[in-house]
Amino acid sequence: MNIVYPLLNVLIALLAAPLMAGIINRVKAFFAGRKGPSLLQLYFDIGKLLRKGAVYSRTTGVFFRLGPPVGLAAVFMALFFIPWGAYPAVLFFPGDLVLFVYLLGTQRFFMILAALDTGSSFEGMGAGRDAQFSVLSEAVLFLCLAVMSAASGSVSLNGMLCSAGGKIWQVSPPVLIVVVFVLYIILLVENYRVPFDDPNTHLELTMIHEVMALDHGGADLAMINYASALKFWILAALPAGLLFPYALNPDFPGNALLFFGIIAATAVLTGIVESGMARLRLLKVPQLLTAAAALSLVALIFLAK
Amino acid sequence: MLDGILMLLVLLNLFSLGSTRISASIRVVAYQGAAIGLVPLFLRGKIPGTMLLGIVFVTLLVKAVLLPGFLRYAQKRVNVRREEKTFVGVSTSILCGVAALGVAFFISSRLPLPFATASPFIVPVALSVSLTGSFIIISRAQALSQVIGYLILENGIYLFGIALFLEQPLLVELGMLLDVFVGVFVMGITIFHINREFEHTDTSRLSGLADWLPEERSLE
Amino acid sequence: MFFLLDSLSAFFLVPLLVLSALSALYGWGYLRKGKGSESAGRQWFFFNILVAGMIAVLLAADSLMFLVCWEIMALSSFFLVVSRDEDKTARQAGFIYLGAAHIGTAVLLLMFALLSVPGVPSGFWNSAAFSASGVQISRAFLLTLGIFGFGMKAGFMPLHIWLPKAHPAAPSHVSALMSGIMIKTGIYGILRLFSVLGGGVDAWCGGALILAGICSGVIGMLLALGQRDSKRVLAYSSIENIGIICMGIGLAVYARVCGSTLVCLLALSGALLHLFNHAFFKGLLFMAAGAAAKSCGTRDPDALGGCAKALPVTSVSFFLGSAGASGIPLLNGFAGKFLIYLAAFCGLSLKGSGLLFPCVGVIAGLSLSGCLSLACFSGLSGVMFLGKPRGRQDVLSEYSTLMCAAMIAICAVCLFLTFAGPLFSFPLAGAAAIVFQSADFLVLPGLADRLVPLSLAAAAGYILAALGIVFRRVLLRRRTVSAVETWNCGYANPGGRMQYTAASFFYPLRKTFTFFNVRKNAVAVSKTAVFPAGYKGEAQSVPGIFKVFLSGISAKLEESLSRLRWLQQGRLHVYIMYIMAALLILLLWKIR
Repeated sequence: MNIVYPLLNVLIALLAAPLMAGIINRVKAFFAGRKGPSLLQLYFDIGKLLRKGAVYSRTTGVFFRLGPPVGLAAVFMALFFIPWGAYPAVLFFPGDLVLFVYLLGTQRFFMILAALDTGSSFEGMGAGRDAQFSVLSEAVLFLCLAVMSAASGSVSLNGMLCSAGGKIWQVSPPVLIVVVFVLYIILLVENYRVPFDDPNTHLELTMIHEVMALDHGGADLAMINYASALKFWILAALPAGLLFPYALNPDFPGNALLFFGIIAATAVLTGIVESGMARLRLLKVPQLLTAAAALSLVALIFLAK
Repeated sequence: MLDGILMLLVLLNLFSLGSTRISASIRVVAYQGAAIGLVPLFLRGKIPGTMLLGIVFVTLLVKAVLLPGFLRYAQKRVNVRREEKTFVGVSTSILCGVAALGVAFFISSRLPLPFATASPFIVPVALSVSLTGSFIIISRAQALSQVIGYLILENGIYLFGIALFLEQPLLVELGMLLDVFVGVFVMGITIFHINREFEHTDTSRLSGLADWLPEERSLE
Repeated sequence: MFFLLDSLSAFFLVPLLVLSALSALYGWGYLRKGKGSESAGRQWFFFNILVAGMIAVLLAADSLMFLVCWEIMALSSFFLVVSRDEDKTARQAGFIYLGAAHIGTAVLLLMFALLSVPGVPSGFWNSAAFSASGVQISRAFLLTLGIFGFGMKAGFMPLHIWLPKAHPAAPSHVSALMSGIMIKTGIYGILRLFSVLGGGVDAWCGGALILAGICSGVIGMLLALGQRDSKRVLAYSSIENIGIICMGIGLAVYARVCGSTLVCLLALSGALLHLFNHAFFKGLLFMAAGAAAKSCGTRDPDALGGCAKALPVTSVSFFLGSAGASGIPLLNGFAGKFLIYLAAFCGLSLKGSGLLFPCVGVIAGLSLSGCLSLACFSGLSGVMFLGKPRGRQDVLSEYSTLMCAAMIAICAVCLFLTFAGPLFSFPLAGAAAIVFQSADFLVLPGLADRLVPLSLAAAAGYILAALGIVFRRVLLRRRTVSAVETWNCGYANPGGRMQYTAASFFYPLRKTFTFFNVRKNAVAVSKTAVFPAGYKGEAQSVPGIFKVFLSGISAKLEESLSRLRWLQQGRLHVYIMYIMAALLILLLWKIR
């Protein structure tokens, strides 16, 4: 029974991740007074794309074709290291948080190469901006993980979010609230949401992620969209793991549903933030990320006492 | 709960360092004043209940309502929207704020108090608020930003005073509030006069008043 | 007894031997035809002396032998750096390199003189009997001298000035060897100094190394962005990787002082493992960059582009090297960094030790420099090899099959090292035991179980990626796949010059970190009566802070030393008189 529940949770994540994109779009439509696309729209889109052929640019070579599969493989592997509420992760070892962050970096490396392979100035622009944001966001993510590690005394994601059994909140609640807030900012940056990037526009001046996938089509675009949905789930699972009420009985099967509910609430919150805020000027993004880094440093200084 | 308020004070510090809009800074001063006004409710002191409530009420009134209101009136008269010229960039200011917090923690660990305070974080946070206030005074050029920095500095000193001298509240409170009021009053008058005379309140251009300059520097 | 082989020397010797063999193979193809082939005999002479000198340095057992071989190494590499002596920049680079190397050697001479003991004419270097010999010299002074002298060779900040000039000027196989092994002999010297001093090192030393490491890692990589010479980017990346190694060593020293043996072992193993892996992926990068420069005729990334299809071996090698340099789990650059991260996180999670701030500094430094190197190398390799050609390019082909063979061999070594992490556990523990002179390291739970998950993760990554590719191929089998031009918003005449260059790719990053990357734009407009005739713009990246600091100091030094100019008469008799006077004074001093 020990391995079945975690594997079941991974299966639920694989099936339910595209639903989160649907929830976000539905919330945005609600705020805009529209009916909006169906909740299962991303499933239909992925299915439609998988049935299509492919059109490749003549300029591209091997690396354009390598980008989507390797990216999806990396994000898929990262999924196995996240614990699910009260259940431990499928795989864990000391230091797996470093591997986790670098798997996301692998996806970014191959997506940048695929973008530069097309020889298009749009995609180069998106790749350059993505590189800029990632430098700061990865540093902030590591600082957050450092705070969580110092607070929980563990060097594995499993230990930090799950096995501590809620002990982490007894250390210092205000510090962890700040950490949850910073993790949410990282979620917004890494998933290219407002205020960092607008997933709705498809003009080269306002987008970072959408423009990197401009020349992909068919099965490649399906893989990219699915990998983005998985990435949202993974990065939402980090603050969800911190916020999960561990006081509940850990054997209760509804725990998985509760965890799913927290991630869905994160999606709803993202939809509200996207409807309420405008995209930041590109010059302001590093300032916001520096502020996030400063918040994690403040949390660390408070923990050190 | 007290720790939460202290963390909120630190976050407000960072926010004031990170924004160049004057109205946002005034709002930060108001929230900080409100938070500091509520701090005495969480300290365990030997004061009877009504006196404590009176102190809290007066502090909230002055720090969170009157002074920010006066600043907003001054802002409207002078018609300054944002800080055009900071000597240090925004990101660097935020990182200096974090460094100030670290320095404050270091200083407070080296200077332990002879008696125990309600929370180990009060003294470092008070020091960091004062350091942030002085940093704002040093790094901004607008006269209104200087007043805001001065108010944040006074907030820090006031927090320090509450933590230590709660036994004799009346004297401390009166001294603090009078100090602040006089400072703001004088600065307010000065700002109006500067503005009326020169049609701007950029203090970095005050050196144009000198007859004698060490080298040739043209007035822009 | 002049030479001695122990675990620490062996650990450094393995990459030296493999890399020098493969770079010799590469050099054979590089020097066979074309511009450099006239001086080939001279270059091979100095190459062989360089390799012999490096081997001897790693095996030397006493101070005099070490110093002699150190000097041989420096001189032979100097001659290799100036091998293209018709090029003015190469000559300048050589002189700066020689000056820096000799400053380091002078400091090391002083240090070895202090380490010497009456009765043993050449002093101790390789044995732990130093502490028993009763030499009463302040350990702090020795450590300062040692770190300065060896740091001048290793090239961490602020002693790195010569690296970005010397490494691009040398021929590519020599650059590979210099970046891969020669700067590591500086690290070897520091570790050997720790072991000679009995393994007890102070905390300030660790803190200084961590600080130097963070500065080298972050600032080194920031200066690499947007350089107009691909080998210069690789040289700055070497500075960054030396910074990572210094961070690991500094954390190990600090942890040892604070009493945590586990963190010490992990950090030192991470530093050594990264050193090993860096030798290979940096060697591969230099070789591929050199091959691309030979085939395309220029080292400027903004003039290249689109060569991946014409130069398959070179481009795949460069990409594998970039993947290693970025620290991706699929290649060998990740394992060393992983161990250092693990050490820092373990130090953080141990409550109550004094390790909090060094660990946070190491984590912040590693993450910033790692991310910057990912951005830099993905951008550089993409701009150099992918997309459309930016300039006018004739038909390209690989320069020489021997160079390709060498590059393929190093690719195979890198792939092997990705999965071979657990094999290192015993050598690393042995080396750590020698550095800190304590057998505790040999009984700790092995590093093998910490590195096995990495090999498994890399294997799983390759298998999953392959599955994804196969899945897509199966899907597309029954569908139409066509080829068109890249979408460019309907523009009628797309060309290679419309795509992003390296300068534009790195522009957002450089704007975020403007403090370190002063960009000088020189504009010259020729004036005419009514309409301006010409416009010339030039942009270059100038590392600002060091220039200001160092030029100020050097100006002061020059001014004060110019008063001694009268000593240089230029006549032989006067110099002989100086030598005789110095000898006479020393003799009189000795017999007083």
